[in-house]
Amino acid sequence: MTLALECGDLKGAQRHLDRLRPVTAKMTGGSEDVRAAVLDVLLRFARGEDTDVRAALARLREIDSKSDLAWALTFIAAIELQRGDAGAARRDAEDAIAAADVVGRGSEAALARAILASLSSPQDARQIIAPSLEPETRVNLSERARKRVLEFTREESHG
Amino acid sequence: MANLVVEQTFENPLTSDELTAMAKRVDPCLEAHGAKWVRSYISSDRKRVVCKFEAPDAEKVRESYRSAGVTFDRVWTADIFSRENPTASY
Repeated sequence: MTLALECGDLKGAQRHLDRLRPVTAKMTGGSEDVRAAVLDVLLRFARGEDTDVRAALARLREIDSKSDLAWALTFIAAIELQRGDAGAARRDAEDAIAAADVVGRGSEAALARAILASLSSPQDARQIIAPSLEPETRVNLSERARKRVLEFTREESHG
Repeated sequence: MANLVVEQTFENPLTSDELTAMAKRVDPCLEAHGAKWVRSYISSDRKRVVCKFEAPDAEKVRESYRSAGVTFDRVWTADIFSRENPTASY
């Protein structure tokens, strides 16, 4: 489902969610139901519906799932950036990096850094994305994160 | 690293062999997820277990238990409270 959301396939994400929710509702003690509920909120947010993403993020903080938190914050920040809300995008991208760094999620950190870099001057941007371009980090990035970082470096070199 | 607590309950009393087998299944998963077992307490009737871990976050411990196929009731992140210094940050 996260892949569908990342690709902007909102109908596909809804189909996955419809199958996921009945299963997670039966699971107790773990984090599955909260994580599915958060994905539901993020899907609505992506659709432009009025939904409380802050409450959803608070639930992820409550269950202490920093990988999910980093992914959700990066997803939200990217949408906020598209919608022209630079302040919110910056805040959420910074929080995403902090969460991603704790659990070693280099790809989420790289995507969040790319968002921050796009909101910064070229000189600051180079410093912001530099940690994701370190060879030992770069080699472990997802294809999506690697492309985003490399796209950004190309943008910078032409900027 | 955060302090994590795992709670488990069992319908039947656990034998020492079952406890050891469970630990052997979970240990490599913990290591793979960057988590470390600290200590465990088992109730006198051997139907309840509470374990303390150190890990980057609670989900790493949940993932370890799921990967090992070991059930749990809940996993939560804990602060350590000390009577000597109750406002200290740990």
